[in-house]
Amino acid sequence: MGISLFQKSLRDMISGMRSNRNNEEKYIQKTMEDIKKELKSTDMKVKTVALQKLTYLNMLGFDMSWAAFHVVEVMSTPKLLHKVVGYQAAAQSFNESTDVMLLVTNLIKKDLISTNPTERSIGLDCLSNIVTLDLARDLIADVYGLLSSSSAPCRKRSALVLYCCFLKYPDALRPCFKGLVEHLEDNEQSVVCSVVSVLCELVIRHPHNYLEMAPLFYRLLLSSTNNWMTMKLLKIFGALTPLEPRLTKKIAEPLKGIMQQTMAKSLLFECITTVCSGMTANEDIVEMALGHLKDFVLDSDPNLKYLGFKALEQFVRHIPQSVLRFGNAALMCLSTADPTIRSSALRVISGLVSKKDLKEVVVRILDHVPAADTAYRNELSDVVLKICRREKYALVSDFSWYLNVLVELARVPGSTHGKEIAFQITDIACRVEAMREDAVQAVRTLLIDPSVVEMAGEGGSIAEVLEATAWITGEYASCVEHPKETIESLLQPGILKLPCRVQAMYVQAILKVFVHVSNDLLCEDDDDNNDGGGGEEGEEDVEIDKNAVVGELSDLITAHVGQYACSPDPEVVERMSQLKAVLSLRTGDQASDGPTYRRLHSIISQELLPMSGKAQRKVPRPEDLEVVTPIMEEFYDEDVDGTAAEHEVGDGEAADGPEAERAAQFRSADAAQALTEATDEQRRHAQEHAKNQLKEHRQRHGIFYLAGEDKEAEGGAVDGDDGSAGLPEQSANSETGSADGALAGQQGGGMDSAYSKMRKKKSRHRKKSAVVEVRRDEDDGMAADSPVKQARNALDVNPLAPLESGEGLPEVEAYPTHYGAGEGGIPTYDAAPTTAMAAGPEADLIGDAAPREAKRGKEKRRRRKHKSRKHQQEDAGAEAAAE
Amino acid sequence: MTIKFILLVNKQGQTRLAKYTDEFLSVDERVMLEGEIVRKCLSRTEKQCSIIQHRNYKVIYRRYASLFFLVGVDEEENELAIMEFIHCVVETMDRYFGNVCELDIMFHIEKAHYLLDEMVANGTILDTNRTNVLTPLQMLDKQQQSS
Repeated sequence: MGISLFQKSLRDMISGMRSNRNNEEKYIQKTMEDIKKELKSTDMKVKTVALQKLTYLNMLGFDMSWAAFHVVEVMSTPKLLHKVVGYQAAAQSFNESTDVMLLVTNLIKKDLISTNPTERSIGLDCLSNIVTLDLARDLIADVYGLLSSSSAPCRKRSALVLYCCFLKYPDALRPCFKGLVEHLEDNEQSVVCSVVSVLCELVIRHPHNYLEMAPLFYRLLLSSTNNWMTMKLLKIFGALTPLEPRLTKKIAEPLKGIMQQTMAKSLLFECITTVCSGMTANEDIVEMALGHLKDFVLDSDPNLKYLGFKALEQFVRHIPQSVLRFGNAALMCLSTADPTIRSSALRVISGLVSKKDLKEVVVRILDHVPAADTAYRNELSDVVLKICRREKYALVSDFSWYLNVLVELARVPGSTHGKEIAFQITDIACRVEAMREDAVQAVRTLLIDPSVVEMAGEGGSIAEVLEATAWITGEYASCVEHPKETIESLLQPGILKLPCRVQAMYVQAILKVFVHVSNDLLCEDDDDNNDGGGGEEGEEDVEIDKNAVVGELSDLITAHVGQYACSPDPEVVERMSQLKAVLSLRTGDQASDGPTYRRLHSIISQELLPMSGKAQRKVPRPEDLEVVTPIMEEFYDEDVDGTAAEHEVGDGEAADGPEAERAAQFRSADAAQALTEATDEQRRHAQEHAKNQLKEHRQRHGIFYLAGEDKEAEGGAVDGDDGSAGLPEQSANSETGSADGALAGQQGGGMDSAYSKMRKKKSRHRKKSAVVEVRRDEDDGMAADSPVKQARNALDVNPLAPLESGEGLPEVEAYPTHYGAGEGGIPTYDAAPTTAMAAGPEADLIGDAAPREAKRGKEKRRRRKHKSRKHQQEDAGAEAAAE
Repeated sequence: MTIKFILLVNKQGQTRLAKYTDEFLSVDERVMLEGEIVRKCLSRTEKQCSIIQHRNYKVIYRRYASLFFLVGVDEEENELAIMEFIHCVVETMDRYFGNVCELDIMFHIEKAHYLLDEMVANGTILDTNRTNVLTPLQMLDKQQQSS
């Protein structure tokens, strides 16, 4: 190509880029500027070369949409060599939003009717790349005309271009279709081939419409000598056979012939795919296809192996029983170097596995775990977990074995499946009563292994498994065989590195195990002798030994449990305090300790039962249930702060307190029946109390308030109206450990020391987590009392009755989540909050019974029935009031 | 239709030829797609299979000396047929350029494009007969020489 003296050719540009590797960007920028200048040249040669360079740069990721007009200019030159460059540029850069598209229509039209075959072919080719609805509509007649051209290359190209016109302009399909199909009898095989390609695409999109063409395709299949065309025809039959089973019989013979004769793997593979997609009912042909597939799977070429497994995946989906013989081959492939083949083989395996060979398969999968890299390890674990969990563990017959598999999986380094493993272990332990002992034994190996705790401490999902481990150990403490060892392992120092949630579970487990063992040892005199499950070294000897054993355990716990005091999590610290309190109940005298532990045990040992996810549906819906009426708007504000409510409720019309209240009552007339019973006086009490709480809060955290009003707060009574709003306040005080005389009076005499210890612990905790405390104060002081008090006035409230206006939301704050130990239960379980059971008893003994009792009531109720959250809160409120 | 794109990439990951059929991708999308696919393919060893799944494309690639030939196809296409097709392309290029190398394709990219256009039209394999493919190309060359 002649190029003006100063212009760089495409070759120069590429060489330049190669020699300017270090500042390529700059070089390209410079070139781009040159190109812009050159494109404006009037010399067509210069323009063309510039466009050629621009097209090359576009391929490397530089925009050329701005040059669309120049592209059209070059396209319109009469010189073929320039034209080709222009068409190439257009095909690469034009799309529907290109604004010069209109200019292209005529250009291409001219090319299509040209006598020069090259012009026709570049015109058609460009059209297929840039076709839009407008182009398709304007040019389809010309393209269709070319279908009857005398030149075979032109005919085959125009057939293919017709298809992309159909896509943009579907109306054209019907008038053109007959002409297209006529070319199936074209003299030129390549034209037939391209028409078949078009029909293949059409059939795959809408196989129904082309069923009646099956005989035609059948004839072509018999006569075809071109592998490319045979493959397309097989694809067509692959789409048609599922719709017309009789076709299967018809094409089985030719298909067999092809499979026997062909040397081409691609054609053979196409046959197998066709068999798989619609002919699985014909045993002969399936047998033959599987025979060939075996060669694929066992071939050393990774591509054939991969495709073999891909096809097997399809067969497994349709006829798993005939593919069973490939199980071994698939298992062998788990050690190949190619992750794609391995994944495919794993999918085949998981489709093939049956109840009988589950154990063997899982063992063989797990064999590959140690040598695998992290991603593959996780993939293997994932497959095992999914296979076994399928249809509620339908394939697992030996749960004891499976629990050990789960424990083994949990130990896989870098595992990301901790959550799933934890769920399955807990699930099995809960559902299968006979498995509980095995579960406790299985998790024991995790529990006592310090390396596991270390591994969890470094991050990774095994911490979740440990959480489940601790829960199972505590929940099924009766199956624990070595309490001392268990408690020791629950007190490992490494646990402090685990997430707080897990720590809390560990502390709770210690409590449960200890209480259970103590009960077993100390209380058996009253029952039949020695029938307790918690056997320990000296159990069957003398009674003093038993007492000593409990003492030993108690000392062990007391010595080490202090480590948890450092936890930043309030729940861990609280549970630790509870545990300490329970330990301090021990007097050393079996006669007095026995009943204490029995009582504790009776609370803890309530069994957690699995609950159906549909349980809620079985609770009949109360007829008068009203959930759409707004419940909060007026009421909430009114209670927390009377003045605020006056403004909102009164809406400017009434400034008087009681009047505003009455207005509010009218608004929520029916729903708030219980609340309307609350007298104005009580209401005012509530308001006053809320104000007092606020004052107290100010007093304590004065620095957070702006100067001015905090002085008056100093004189405010801390417990101004104990009488009316005592319960929540006590709760608040006891939780935060603030000095409150009333509390001391409520304590049982014997529990003094326990309580004081606990209080010390708690006050230490308070210093550490002042922020949490602030929240508690606000929660309790500001909002907690009002709903409880209101509910007091509605003692006869039916727990299932409709929600009362204004009762819902404040309660959420009245019982913040970190108070209720039950909140920390096994997350995946509906009915999990058994741990809450343990929170109840010692609280009871310590003395601040009422609010705790309320909490416990609430949790019990939650266990009993699945109610809506709002119902629950209402319920708990009523319970608190009842206390 | 079934072939969505053909890429020629060297082992440093530089695109030497890119041909998209069927659907239009913006420049940025192309660059991103090429980057992803090339990274995936280049990281594979010879012992691994040369078929990968990327987004909704099946990508089949073959390596010839320093050059990777990648073809992206839809779900229906036969992988082995595409492998054969790639080989056919390479043989045709070899016949045309005479012992084809990366530089031949770079410096004569318009010829390479034209050659591919003769073999693939509208995402479908049009012709795999070397003589048929090369005849129009050689005619064009003659014109160029005479001009």
